[in-house]
Amino acid sequence: MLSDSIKAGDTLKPLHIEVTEQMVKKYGEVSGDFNPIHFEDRAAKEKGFPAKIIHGMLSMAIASNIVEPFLQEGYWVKSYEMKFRAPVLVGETITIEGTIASMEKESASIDIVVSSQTYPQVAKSKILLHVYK
Amino acid sequence: MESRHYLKGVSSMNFKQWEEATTLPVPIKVTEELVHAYYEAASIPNNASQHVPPALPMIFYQYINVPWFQEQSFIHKDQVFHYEHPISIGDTLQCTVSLISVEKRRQFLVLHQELIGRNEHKNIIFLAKSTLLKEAE
Repeated sequence: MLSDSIKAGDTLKPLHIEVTEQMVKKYGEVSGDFNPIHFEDRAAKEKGFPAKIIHGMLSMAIASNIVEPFLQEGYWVKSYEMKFRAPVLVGETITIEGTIASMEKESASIDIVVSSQTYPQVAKSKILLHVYK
Repeated sequence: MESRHYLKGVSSMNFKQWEEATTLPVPIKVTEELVHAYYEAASIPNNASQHVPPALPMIFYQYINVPWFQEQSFIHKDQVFHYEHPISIGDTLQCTVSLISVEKRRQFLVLHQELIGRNEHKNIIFLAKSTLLKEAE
């Protein structure tokens, strides 16, 4: 049981994931979101970004990787929230860091911060996990 | 709350007129192919959980005709998913999108909307709340 070995305040192993053009293309295809700000620097610059940016929902999808060890141990996601603070540029490596906010016998709450080389805080997030029955 | 359903062919830039509107329900099947393409995009290992990743339902938007989305782009500010049950490959969900509110805040319009997925018994499986910003004209 993870609840025996993890306590509030513990940090999870951070993830460093490069968000490649291929991933953005794939997310565009799977989501049907072909907004040019994700694919063309010129379109992104016209909207005030320094270069093309990844889909916000792609960063949310990637960030959920940090709870994968919990999902492998029989937990499921009861809720997942994210506040988007800054864009991620295509090709950047994002860092996902998680801290256990609370750990109960059958649930865990994890605070997550996503950062990039350009912005120290791309997004703030919270995931609530329950043991699946 | 009285809800208005989308009338096909009607499109407008006036978001306020769509406040409290709900789209018609669309059945969406969560296929293995869709989930694996999502895994690949998000760098999620293929041996992931038996349940689909928590942010996946946002890709359902492409199957739903949302009139206030016609040729519009938004700044995605906040996103929340609440689950009553996890989603698995093979599930079919009846999905609707509702525009809960539209308010003007400084130079932006703030749109609050919900994507809801229900099972065959019309029980809510998930609720995805989005806060979107649009520069006011």
